[in-house]
Amino acid sequence: MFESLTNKFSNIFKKLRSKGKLSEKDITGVMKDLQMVLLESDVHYRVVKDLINRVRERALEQDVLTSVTPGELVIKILWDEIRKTLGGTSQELHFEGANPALVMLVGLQGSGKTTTCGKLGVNLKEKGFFPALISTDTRRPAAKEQLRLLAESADLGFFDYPEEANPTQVVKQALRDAQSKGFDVVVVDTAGRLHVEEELLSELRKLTQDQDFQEILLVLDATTGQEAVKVAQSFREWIEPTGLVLTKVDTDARGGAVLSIVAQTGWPVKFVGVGEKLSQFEVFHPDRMASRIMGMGDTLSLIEKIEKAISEEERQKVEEKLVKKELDFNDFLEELSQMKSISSLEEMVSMLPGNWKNALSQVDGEKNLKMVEAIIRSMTAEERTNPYIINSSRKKRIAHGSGTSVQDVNRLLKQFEEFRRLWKKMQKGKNLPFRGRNLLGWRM
Amino acid sequence: MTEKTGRWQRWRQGLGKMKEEVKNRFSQIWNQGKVDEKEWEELEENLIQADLGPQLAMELTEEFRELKESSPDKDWKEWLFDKLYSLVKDNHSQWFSQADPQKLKVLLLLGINGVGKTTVAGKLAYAFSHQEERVSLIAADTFRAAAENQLEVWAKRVGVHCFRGSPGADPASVVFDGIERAKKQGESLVVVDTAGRSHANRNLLAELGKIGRVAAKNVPPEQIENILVVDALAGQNAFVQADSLSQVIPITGIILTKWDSQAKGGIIFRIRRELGLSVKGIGVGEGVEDLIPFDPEEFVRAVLS
Repeated sequence: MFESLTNKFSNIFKKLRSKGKLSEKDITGVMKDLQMVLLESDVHYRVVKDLINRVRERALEQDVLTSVTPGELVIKILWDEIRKTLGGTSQELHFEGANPALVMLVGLQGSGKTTTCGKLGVNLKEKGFFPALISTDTRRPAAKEQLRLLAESADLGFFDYPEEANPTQVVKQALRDAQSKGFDVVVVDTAGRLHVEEELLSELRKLTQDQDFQEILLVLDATTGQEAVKVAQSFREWIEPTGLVLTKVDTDARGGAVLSIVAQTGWPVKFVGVGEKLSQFEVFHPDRMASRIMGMGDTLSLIEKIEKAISEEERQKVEEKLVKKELDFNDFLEELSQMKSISSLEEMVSMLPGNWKNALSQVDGEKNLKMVEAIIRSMTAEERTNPYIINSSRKKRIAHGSGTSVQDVNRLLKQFEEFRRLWKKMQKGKNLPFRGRNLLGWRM
Repeated sequence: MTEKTGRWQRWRQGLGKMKEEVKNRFSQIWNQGKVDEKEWEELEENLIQADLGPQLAMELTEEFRELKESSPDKDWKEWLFDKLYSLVKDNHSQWFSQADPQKLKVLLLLGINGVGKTTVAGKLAYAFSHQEERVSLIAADTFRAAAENQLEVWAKRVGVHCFRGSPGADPASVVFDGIERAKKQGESLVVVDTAGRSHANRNLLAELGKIGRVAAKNVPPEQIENILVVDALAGQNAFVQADSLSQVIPITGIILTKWDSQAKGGIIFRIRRELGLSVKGIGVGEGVEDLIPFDPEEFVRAVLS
């Protein structure tokens, strides 16, 4: 279904692209389509309406009707508006010199507060802080135990006061202990509560009145639907969060809920959780999120990941080769082994825009990757540099040598062709993924 | 009994919110001579707000429009009831309808992280042990820190046994051992809590497939319910989840959690229509009894009463 949605969006673009010149009626039709896509991405319907109105206005202002590339222009305007709404730039935590600084995580049950607490601790530690984690969650069975285990596994501070039921007292004691033991940030995990549970919300308010929190982060599940707006509204009535953490971004949810909330509250998104491991925690990038909500693939994140994994030297080698001649299997192999050092290949493939995803879909899964490697390693040096010579008897030999089937070899060859084709195309547009900064999905 | 009525009350109150807004809009439009585009759009928005999703909302609006234009003397309320009821009427709420009561039954809970699987496991264990079943819990979430402890607390609360593997053990092997143990003890039902998993993660999907196969190898299919747990606040992605998960394991039903979060009810119509899966129960609170069975007729009547 997710795939079909992405395709639906591409179809709208195609419709626009092939039009050349647009009439005002075309624009109205397209706006209706865009509206549907945004709704399917879980953006709140009121926010969708606003957004579409702004896009329509700007589109007409900028003479989309007479533009040579009306499709690109409309898409660019929408992307721009979403990005602007999401906050323009990524945002840091602000501790205002407090020592120890107090950070609190709040949210609904199951939004991922406890895991986020651990991740935030790891993130702060990487930045040179000495964080300690505490939990005021006495409701969910084993919630504290979960946090303690997370803290232990990441070597973070953890305080627990089993005798103390009052959240304010827990925080006060933790601050004292943090100070005496040299911790400079205390991250407070709280019990999950629904936005309709006033008693629990007032308990939170009490805590924020008793203590000065430098950051209060609302943890939001990226898979939340239309109700997200009400959740934010209600938390805002009781406490004033300073920002958002978006979790479960590793699902294929488009995360339209975050756009709804930010549009309504203006809260900055400070982090996103992208996996189950404590290290899978990233700074929020509005431009990437905008691409994701529009179903264009998280191209920028991907580039950053690839950049991290490939050293400067190797990068040059590949680029030189591209200028000189076509990519061969040696490069492909190198690419693949680089990919293995990226945290998870699947995670990476999932961030690619449509056509890349198709090209790489056969490579996904660690097992597949091993198979591909085995096949390439069973080729002779000549076959690797010049795959065109691989005939059926060579295929049989390669399949035999790598313990795969001829079909597997065929698939890889086909896939390699596609890979090479895309590579060339990007090179032509000077849009090499390693160089490119302006690499939006729609450009490819 | 009052406790039970209280829960139904909460549930109905949540539905009431949808009912008033949408019903007023329907009735207003019906009685109006001329309806402009904007008003039709507003009806569509109301339906989206009621969690019916953009697709179904658009369809309902269009059908209603057709009805108004073609047969203005029809009873629109009847039409709406029929329409909504037709979406849910084939819902099978009963558990293990084909199962042999003499043999062990397996109820497997699956879903993405944080939807409330562990809590549902506890509530189900409670509900079934009050229906003459000899129940035990199996903690197959060996990934999330302290997940097994959480389930164990529930087990103590409910008064059933909780089977655990060693931390980090292969969940499929825990399920296997748990089933073996239950058979030896002469138990009639095991409720298996699995780790939350993103349906976009192939490795975790494969792991789930394996758990499903292990269960299927040890008990016949009619003795198994694989239940997808869905957060009532979930958006469009809930439907993608079900799609991907059913690639690796046959899903036999759905439990909707956090219903007390003012979910609007519309999601049930979408689940029926888009997934064709039966809603078995609805979680309405954190208490051990806060899981109520889903009754389609009662539900639609509540929506439209």
